[in-house]
Amino acid sequence: MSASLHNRHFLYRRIHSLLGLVPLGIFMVFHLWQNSQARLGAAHYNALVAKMAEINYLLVFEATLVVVPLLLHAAYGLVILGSGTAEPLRYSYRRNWLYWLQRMSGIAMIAFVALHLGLTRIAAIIDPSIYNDMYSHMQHSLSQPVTFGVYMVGLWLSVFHLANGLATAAITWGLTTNAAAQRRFGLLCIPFGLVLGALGTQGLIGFVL
Amino acid sequence: MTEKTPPDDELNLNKPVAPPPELVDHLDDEQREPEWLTEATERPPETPHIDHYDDEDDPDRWQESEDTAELAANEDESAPEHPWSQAEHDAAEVVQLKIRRQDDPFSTPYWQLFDIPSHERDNVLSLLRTLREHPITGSGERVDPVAFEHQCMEEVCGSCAMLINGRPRMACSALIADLEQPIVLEPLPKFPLVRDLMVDRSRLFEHLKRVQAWIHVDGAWDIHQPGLRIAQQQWARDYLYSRCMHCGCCMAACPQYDEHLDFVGPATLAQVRLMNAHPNGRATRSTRLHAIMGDGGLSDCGNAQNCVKVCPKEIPLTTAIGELGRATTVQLIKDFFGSSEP
Ligand code: SF4
Ligand code: SF4
Ligand code: FES
Repeated sequence: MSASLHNRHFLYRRIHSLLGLVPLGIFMVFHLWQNSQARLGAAHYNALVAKMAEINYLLVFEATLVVVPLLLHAAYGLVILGSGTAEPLRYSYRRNWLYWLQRMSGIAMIAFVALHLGLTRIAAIIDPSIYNDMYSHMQHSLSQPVTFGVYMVGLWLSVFHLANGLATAAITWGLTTNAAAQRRFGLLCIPFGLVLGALGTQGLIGFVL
Repeated sequence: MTEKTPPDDELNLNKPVAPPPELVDHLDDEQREPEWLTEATERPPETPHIDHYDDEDDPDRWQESEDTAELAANEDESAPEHPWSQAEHDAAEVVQLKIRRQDDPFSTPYWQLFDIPSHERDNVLSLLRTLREHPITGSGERVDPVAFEHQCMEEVCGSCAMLINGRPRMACSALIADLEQPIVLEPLPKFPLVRDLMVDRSRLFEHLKRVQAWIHVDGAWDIHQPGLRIAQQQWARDYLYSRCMHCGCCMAACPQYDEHLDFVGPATLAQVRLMNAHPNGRATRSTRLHAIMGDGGLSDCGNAQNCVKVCPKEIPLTTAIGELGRATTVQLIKDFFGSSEP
């Protein structure tokens, strides 16, 4: 009857795509926008963190909108990675490079997000006083050039992953059907990525300047 | 009321139809330097030469051994005797072919170089046919003829696909004049190898069966009704997909396609797009959509879009994939919320 509901394969792929866009993509935009406020100084930033911590059912939101989608998206992403050989050197077309980069940035993001969580949320579990002054905690870790470099690379790879994922999701879901529409939408994703990356960079620089 | 007739070139289907520009990602003809070929090995010395003609009664066997004896006699002379007549040589430019050979699916591949006299407007296949007459390497060794497939010689049958200078394409339409030398020939990847440049592409038919890429006839008898009408504009679009010759080039280039994987590949998906557009095929649309919503279906595509770049018939594969993306999204909604359609 309805093979699409009984055969998991299609559903899993579409859920993977949807999770990457809706909770995770939106969260990333929100997260980068919020952290770009680091430039406004310690008092403003710490007040913001405190306000966030007061949100009703914060843990439930964090779990259902960020943590679980993130785990599912990453785990299934690794399953997809198991199939496919990109050969970007043999077929050096733009989209094939992006296909390859999407996979590579996905792996890099797993490492980066783990590190990022370790340096913030997990560190705060060990030492709860970090929450009282998140700003100086971030300032402290980002003042090390290595950490700053890793954050910068991680940020731009993540932004790429989202922007390119948006372009391919448009093909997957059938928003863009013909080749010209796919190219047009792909081009629109570039300024989106650049603005988002700039926002994130502003946040990182805001902590150290 | 007068009906507007579509412009002539939309009606004349004998003329090659250029795909509407919005459907195809532009094909670029840049020939890539085949860097990965540096790993190539010469024939490994430990591989014994296998004589495949062991039948004592085979007259060719006697013929071959005589040739071999003649060759062996010539071996001592400093210059190896050239197999081509002087006249043939003078008339032509000598082209070097570097062919990846493999005696059977299980043996080690090796490379052989051949110098072949070539005439103006020769293509890779005509050169391979010349080579078949005198299968003698550049260093004068007589070897087994190179196995390859071909039929039509005009890029419609789809049987001569191979890697030419690293790119999957049809040997019959690959003009020597346009190719960098030595011309490197390898079997089409992603399909089980039979021998030399010959691969087994029977999977292509299996894929088509899997997605039911056919139209159910309305009856095996005369139903006294004309066929359903198709708008000229739609016809022109559908025609693009009907030119697929199942050569396998798009699959060879697709990062998601491999003989060990489930994916049915871009050409098969494009046929679903074609059959679903047909007025008779529309009745069984959802069956085909469900087939590509299963394992190895549409969602195995990773949008690398190599397929559309290498397709020799310029079939708008990525457009088909985008359209099927939309069709499957709608189908998913129908499946989830229920629908009055079958
Ligand atoms: S879509 Fe193009 S490349 Fe693929 S099998 Fe058909 S003709 Fe060959
Ligand atoms: S667009 Fe899809 S089918 Fe075409 S080469 Fe890429 S992964 Fe393969
Ligand atoms: S021989 Fe038929 S396509 Fe080349």
